[in-house]
Amino acid sequence: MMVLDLKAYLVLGAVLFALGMIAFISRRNMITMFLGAELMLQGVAINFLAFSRFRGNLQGQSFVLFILSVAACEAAIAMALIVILYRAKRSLDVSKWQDLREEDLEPNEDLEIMAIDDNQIQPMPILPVAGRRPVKEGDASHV
Amino acid sequence: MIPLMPLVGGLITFLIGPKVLRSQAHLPCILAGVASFAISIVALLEVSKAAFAANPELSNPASVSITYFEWFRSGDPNLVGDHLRKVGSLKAEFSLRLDPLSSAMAVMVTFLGTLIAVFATGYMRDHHSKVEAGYSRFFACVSLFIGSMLMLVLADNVLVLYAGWEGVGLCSYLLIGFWFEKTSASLAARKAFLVTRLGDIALFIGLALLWISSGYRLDFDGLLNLKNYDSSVGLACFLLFIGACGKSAQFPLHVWLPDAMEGPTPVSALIHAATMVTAGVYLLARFMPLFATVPDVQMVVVGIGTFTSLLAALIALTQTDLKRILAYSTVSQLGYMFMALGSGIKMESALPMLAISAAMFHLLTHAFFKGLLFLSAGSVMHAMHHVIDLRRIGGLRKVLPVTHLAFLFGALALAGIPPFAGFWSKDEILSVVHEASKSSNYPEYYIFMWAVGIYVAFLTSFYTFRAYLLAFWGDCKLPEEVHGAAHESPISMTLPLMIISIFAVGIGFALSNLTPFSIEGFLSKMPGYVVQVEHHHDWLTVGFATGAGVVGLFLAIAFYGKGGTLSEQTPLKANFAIELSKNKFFFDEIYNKVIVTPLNVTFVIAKVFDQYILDGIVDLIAHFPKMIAQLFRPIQNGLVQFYALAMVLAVTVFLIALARSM
Repeated sequence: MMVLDLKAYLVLGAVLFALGMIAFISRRNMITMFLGAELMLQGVAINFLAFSRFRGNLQGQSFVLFILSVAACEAAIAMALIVILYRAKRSLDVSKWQDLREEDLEPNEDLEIMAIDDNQIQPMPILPVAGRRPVKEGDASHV
Repeated sequence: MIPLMPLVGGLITFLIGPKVLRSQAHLPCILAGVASFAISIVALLEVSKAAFAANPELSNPASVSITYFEWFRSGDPNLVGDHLRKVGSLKAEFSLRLDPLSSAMAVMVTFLGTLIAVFATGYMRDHHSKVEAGYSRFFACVSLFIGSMLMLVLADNVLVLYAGWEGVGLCSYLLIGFWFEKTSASLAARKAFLVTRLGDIALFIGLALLWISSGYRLDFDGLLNLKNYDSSVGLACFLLFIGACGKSAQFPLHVWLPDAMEGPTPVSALIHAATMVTAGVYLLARFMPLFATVPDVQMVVVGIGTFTSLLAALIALTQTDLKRILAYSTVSQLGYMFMALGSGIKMESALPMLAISAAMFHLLTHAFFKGLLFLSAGSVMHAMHHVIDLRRIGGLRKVLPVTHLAFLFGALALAGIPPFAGFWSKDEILSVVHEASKSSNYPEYYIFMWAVGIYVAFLTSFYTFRAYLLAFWGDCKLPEEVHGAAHESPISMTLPLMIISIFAVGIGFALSNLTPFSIEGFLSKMPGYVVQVEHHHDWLTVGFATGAGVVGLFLAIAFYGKGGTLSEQTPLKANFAIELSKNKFFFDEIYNKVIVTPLNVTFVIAKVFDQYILDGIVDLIAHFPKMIAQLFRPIQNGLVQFYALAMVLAVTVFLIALARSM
């Protein structure tokens, strides 16, 4: 069995980190960006594990446990935020959110995206509260 | 206790007056006034009992000073007594003093103040007993006014005195500007405040000088003891005199008082008779031991006093506003008091005592008859719907019989016709001036002042009776505002008139040297003064002054007695002089040109400098960081990816730098 040395693990971590970074910077889809961020996190975690393994103590491994749980919480919150943002603009495109720029600057517009007519976007389905019978189309009232 | 009552009364009126008391807002004021009057009477009796018990062993038999609490102090709190003085620390106590001078003043102030407040309950209503707006504000101010004045006269150290002094100034401002919606009233209030303020500044500097040169003493006993001084007190005395000039409306600073007529008439009576203007006289009388040592300053005092009395009398000759005539006569009479005070030279002679007693005597009699005159003028005003122009009213003696008699008594007293009050006190003053001419180094100066004083006595009686005859004799003339339905004022106004009338008639004789209640005998119990034992009456002065008064009276009757019309052809031929007098010697105009205009120019320059130069520099400095920030603004484009990229690049740069440095 081939024994891999430390360098190989570190390279793997670095590659993961770099890929995540590239994904975060180059993609406009918010979910993809979030996945990129997760990837960077895991790249760092592999670094921890590798050093922990080769130095022979457990501090790095216990750190990684924390990283994993924090990443899970983070994912829950991030997904909730993304859902809210999507509801507001009907789009996952992060470039739709440029409100924090200086007042007198023009927004950085992507013509392709701007060409989509907002009126053509399908309305969101209204989900019933859990445990209730879904209301059929054309019924008098819905919740 | 005495000043506390009106102060508390004023406070109560302020707090609950507008809501709870409404038309009964005068109650706290009057009750407090009556109470403190009663206490002052008791105090006066105590003091006189102590004074006339005449125990020669006691150095200070008739003077009690009470320290209530420590007011404030600065410097090391552990130092006491003489050490305190050496390091110049300040320890101010709230202490009051009761001696003949202050108790006499206190009785006068509370008595007149209370009567004037009673009068005002009638005056501040319209003819249907409906109270004016601000009724409770009025009585709160009156109450505070009386309280401050009492604090002033009863103070035992200069800080309490100064606090009372400022309190009086503030209340006078509030009361003169009582009808603040009237432009002239608010302007007059501001003028009064600013002009007296000039004097106040001088007073404050003077007091500070005294404090320093007496070895950091504040109480009167220490301040008035000449042994405590190592240098001359001339400058400090002069500054005190300027302060007194401001409050008592003497020559350079007299311009505020006639304008103060814009306030309600009871306020005029209060300011002119009982309180404010007498503060200056009281101050000089209190500091007489110091003034007596600086004859040069005293010469200024007597000169200013005489000049003011002459000037004001000349102005009063041609005024047509009843209240203004009275105002100028007040200025003139105050000039008399300063004349008397200025004659107190040479501490080792009896002159200072004579000067104080003459000035205080005139102050008291003047308080009564001028209060009487003002209240009757107020009664006229009330009946005439605020018209007091002598060209529009006349022959009121049938319409207002009580007011007419009261005014007549006041006028006789003011003119110095025997046996009314003014006769006794005016003669006393002129005798003192005459007396001073004998011991002064400049006898001609004092003789000249004496002669002018007698001439002013003549003018006084002339203008007083001119006003009286024009207002009350001749054909009955009523202004249109009255609609022909003038009637006598309500009882709350006529009763004080009658009471004060009795005093105005009798107080002169009662306090003169011929009776055991002599004010001179009373005041002479104050420590440190030489007392003249036997009295010799200066018949020459008495004769001249009375003669002048009577001549003025008959001359006025001759000119104005028959028709009682104030024609434009005034008997005097010299038109220039009349114009001068009518326009009050152009003092207001001169002050406007000389003081107000340059100040205005300065204001404009200062405004331009501030707005364009100072603000410009500040704005320039503020623009600088703004311009730098402008460079970085495009970076903030709101794109998340752009921020992330910037972050990555920055971290990379830092890492590379870190790696290279290792």
